[in-house]
Amino acid sequence: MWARWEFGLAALLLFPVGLMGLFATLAPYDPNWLDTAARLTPPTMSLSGIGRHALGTDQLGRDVLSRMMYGTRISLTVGAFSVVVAGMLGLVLGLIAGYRGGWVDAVIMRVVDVVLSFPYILLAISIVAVLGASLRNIIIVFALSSWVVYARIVRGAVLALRNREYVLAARAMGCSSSRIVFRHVVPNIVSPLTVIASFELARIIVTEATLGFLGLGVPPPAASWGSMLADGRNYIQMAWWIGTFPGLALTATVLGINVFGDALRDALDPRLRHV
Amino acid sequence: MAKSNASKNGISRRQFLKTSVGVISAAGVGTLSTAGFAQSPPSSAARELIVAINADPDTLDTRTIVKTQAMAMHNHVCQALLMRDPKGQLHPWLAESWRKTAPTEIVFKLRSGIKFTNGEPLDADAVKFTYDNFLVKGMFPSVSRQKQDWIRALDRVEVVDKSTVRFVLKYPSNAFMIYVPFYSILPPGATKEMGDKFALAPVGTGPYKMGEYVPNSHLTLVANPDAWSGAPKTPRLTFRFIPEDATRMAALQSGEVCMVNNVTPDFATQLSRMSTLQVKEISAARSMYIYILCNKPPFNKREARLAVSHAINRQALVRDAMGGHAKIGGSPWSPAVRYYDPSLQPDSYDLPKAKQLLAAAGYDGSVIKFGFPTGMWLNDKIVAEFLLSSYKDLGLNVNAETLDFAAYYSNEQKHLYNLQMQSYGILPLHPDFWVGAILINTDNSLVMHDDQKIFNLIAEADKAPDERSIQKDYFELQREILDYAPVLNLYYFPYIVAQSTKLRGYEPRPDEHFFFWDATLAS
Amino acid sequence: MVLFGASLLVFVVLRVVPGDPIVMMYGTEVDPRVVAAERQRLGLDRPILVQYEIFLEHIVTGDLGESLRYRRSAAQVVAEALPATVQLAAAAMGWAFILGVPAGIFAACTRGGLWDRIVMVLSLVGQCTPTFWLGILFMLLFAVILHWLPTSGSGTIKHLILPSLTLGLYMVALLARLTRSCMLEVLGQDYLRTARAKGLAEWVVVTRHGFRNALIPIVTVVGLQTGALLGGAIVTEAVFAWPGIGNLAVQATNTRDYNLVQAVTLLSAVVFVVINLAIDVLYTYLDPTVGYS
Repeated sequence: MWARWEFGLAALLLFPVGLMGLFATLAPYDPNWLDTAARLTPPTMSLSGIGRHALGTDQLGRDVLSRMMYGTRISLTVGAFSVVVAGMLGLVLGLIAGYRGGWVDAVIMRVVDVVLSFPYILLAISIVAVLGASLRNIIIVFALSSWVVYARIVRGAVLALRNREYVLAARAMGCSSSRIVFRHVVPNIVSPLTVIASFELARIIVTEATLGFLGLGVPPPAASWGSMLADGRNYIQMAWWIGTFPGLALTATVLGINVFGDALRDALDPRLRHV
Repeated sequence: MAKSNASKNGISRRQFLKTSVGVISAAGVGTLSTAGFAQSPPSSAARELIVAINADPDTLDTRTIVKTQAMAMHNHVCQALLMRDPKGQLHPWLAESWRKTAPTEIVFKLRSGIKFTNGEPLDADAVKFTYDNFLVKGMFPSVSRQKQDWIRALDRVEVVDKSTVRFVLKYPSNAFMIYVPFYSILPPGATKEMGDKFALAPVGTGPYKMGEYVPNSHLTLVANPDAWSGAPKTPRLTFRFIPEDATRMAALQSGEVCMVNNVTPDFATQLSRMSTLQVKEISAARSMYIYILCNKPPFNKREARLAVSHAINRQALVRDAMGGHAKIGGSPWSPAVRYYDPSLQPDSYDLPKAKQLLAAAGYDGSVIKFGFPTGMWLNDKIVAEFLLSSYKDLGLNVNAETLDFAAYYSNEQKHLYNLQMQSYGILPLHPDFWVGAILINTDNSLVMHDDQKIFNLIAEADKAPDERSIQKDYFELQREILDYAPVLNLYYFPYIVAQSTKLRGYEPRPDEHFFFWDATLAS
Repeated sequence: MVLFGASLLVFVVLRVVPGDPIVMMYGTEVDPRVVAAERQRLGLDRPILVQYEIFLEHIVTGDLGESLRYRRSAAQVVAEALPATVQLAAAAMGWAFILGVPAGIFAACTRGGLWDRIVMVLSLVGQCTPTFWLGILFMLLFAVILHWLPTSGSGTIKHLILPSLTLGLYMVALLARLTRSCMLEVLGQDYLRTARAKGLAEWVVVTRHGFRNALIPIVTVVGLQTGALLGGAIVTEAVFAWPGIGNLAVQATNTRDYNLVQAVTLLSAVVFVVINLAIDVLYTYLDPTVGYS
């Protein structure tokens, strides 16, 4: 019953956000269109009429609602791609480390330790400084800092399974390593990985906002929620709408993903609670 | 629900509510009322002034200082031979008089009886020691190269007697004098003794002496009771460093500080709603320019450069991109700078004429590279967008690039752009500071123009024998720059500060310095 | 080993940066001759490998170079700013334990009830909000509107409250949820039933037997979160003008003060390694008591 309640809440939160992203092209204005004469107009909460901005305009005269809708795409793209890339990287390296063992394992784990010991913000700053700020580079930054989480889990699972009877039996029967990996190891790690992935997704979306605050996020004129929040922070007193609406969207999304992840974990395997 | 926007703290309850609900789903926030719960802010005792500055000085040693804020802060403790007033005129400070004894010689007479706070006397030896740090290679390895460059006209400093020094120049230069206020006199003994620590706790002759400097946090100064100019009006002065705009403004609103510098126009509007605050806005000595690379087509033709100028609607630019908070004029330097000619008008906004000029210049539609900074100057992003649409109207084929503010200045990058948007602050309030850096004939000039008249006028003005000739030269120079257009002036920046209404004795200056020795806070 | 890798990474990444730290220091009104001379003095025009060699040599002797911006030893600058960040982080951890753990225990004990739901939702929200936004809101609410606390800066306990709460909120939320789930698991275990059967008071059962065992994963997670804490500290310190190494790191990055960024990063790596070791030690201490029954 607990699980069902949570799934419902997650859907409630994520559904509108998803819709916004899907139908962003139906936004009332071009998100990058500057109407400098109409800077900082307050929200009118209605879409009717030319020159009406349902959620107000920002400090450059751009429509907040339109930017928020397109921002959904950007933030979710950054999040999803980062998770996928990091996940694949972590999966592969974790499998190799766990399965091969020996010095390969040692090297990979040392690298994991190094990356983990690097405060992710500093890593982000350095990478963005070298490669420049762009959507692609932000994804690279996140992927490089979060693959370690997956690698650790995967390696742990592989190590645990390596000596199970059925694996030893399969080996004895002459099955190739990769076969063993895919048939036996992978199914066992899908659950923890998915749970981790959902939490990472949420974390990355929030972190993107933090990078925006530091001036390192997706570069202008892109309308990621992060950069809108970062812009909005100086206008909390004068034009609260600039940051609040994307903030709402961000919180709802992240909340939804976290709730979903929780529910997923509870449903799949309660033993994963410590993960 | 109350709709009033003006309240004791400048934030209406509605505004705050909507923001917080969006992030914290706690509904309890909604029951707070501003008037009911607000307690009176902690009253700043008249014995201490606390102000919030947007940057940490990094060092308080005149030999390594680079930031304007650092210059202003350290001048409360360390003083130079001459002081610059808000109009750019030089006045006696540690030197009671000076005169030119030869085209390349200036003699300063020092005030007598002044001592540093550690007891050392302020005498000619101290002055020579100070300037030698910049003149003698290797004497102080970390010395600011910038400050060495500013006095490149100076050959040596000679001690005539205990209270007289002679400055010998390599060549006659009027501009040399404008830099003297930047060089505070160092006490030779303390400087050598303290070594590295001097930068954190300098010793000087000023109305204040060092209290405590905690990098990234604050700088506290206490009154110097033996100061030759008298004790300061407020015995304790603390500068708090708050780079984050929202935080700095909050400190003023809550009453924790009595003044903040560098206020953005949007915040200015917000702060001026509070009856306990006062917002002051003046024209700064800073302008926004478009530097044009004059040795590459199409802008090697004067007509093309003028075309760009006539295609920009400066009034609209100021109104829309700067919220009306900037001024425009024909002179390439701001009215706050000396020798400003008020009769000059900026190029009119005339799109048909601009197109004609561009055609006459033979523009073939090739790509124009435009570089612009973002986040470095007030509203620079918006201004850049405005310019881009102006270029489009004119029919230029523009490829725009954001300049990473550090990469921007490396030499290889300098000549990549046909048009560059850049700001320049003329700190000494004298035109030579800018023309002598930007418009002279060197290989790594941003502008690479070849107008002999401009070169000649710059050199002449530096050598001119009296005020009248200097003014004549600079007036002609302004006209020539407007006419030849190697650089386009867009607008003059505002400098906005905000303070408590109880603060007296402080006025903002166009050189962005701030001095508080005459300031008091009524309680 | 880890430190070597970290230092290499830092060095490589920072040196490749396309930006001139000299010009960043001096601002726009600078002469190119000045720039060239300065580069030479600071050794920035030597080949990369030579620079790295010198860098390693210096580290071994504890010299992390001169901060380009401050003109003083980078190691010293970092060391001066470090206590402030430690104070902030410790206070944030403090909030996490003071608020988070009891909330989690409470929620576990009232499982399924209204309070359980409220605690869970609040902590979820707490984990989902960007730190800087939270910080600014707190500042506006508690300092500007209510005048209960100062807006920024450091100096007294009052100054510490808002920044540490902002920094710690994520951990409060995390610990609340974690404690709750660990407690739930542990509460149902056999040896607790035994304890109850023995007639021990409920609260004894909960705290002494249940909690001790729940502590292990909590401690592990706390250790892992230290890295996140430093990341959060960077933002929190920037918002509240807190003079710690986070603030230093941001400013150093903006001005391309290589040496300072290196110093901060190396130091963080050291701190992390130390904390991990401490966690491992703590783990072995806690472990024997698990087998209690």
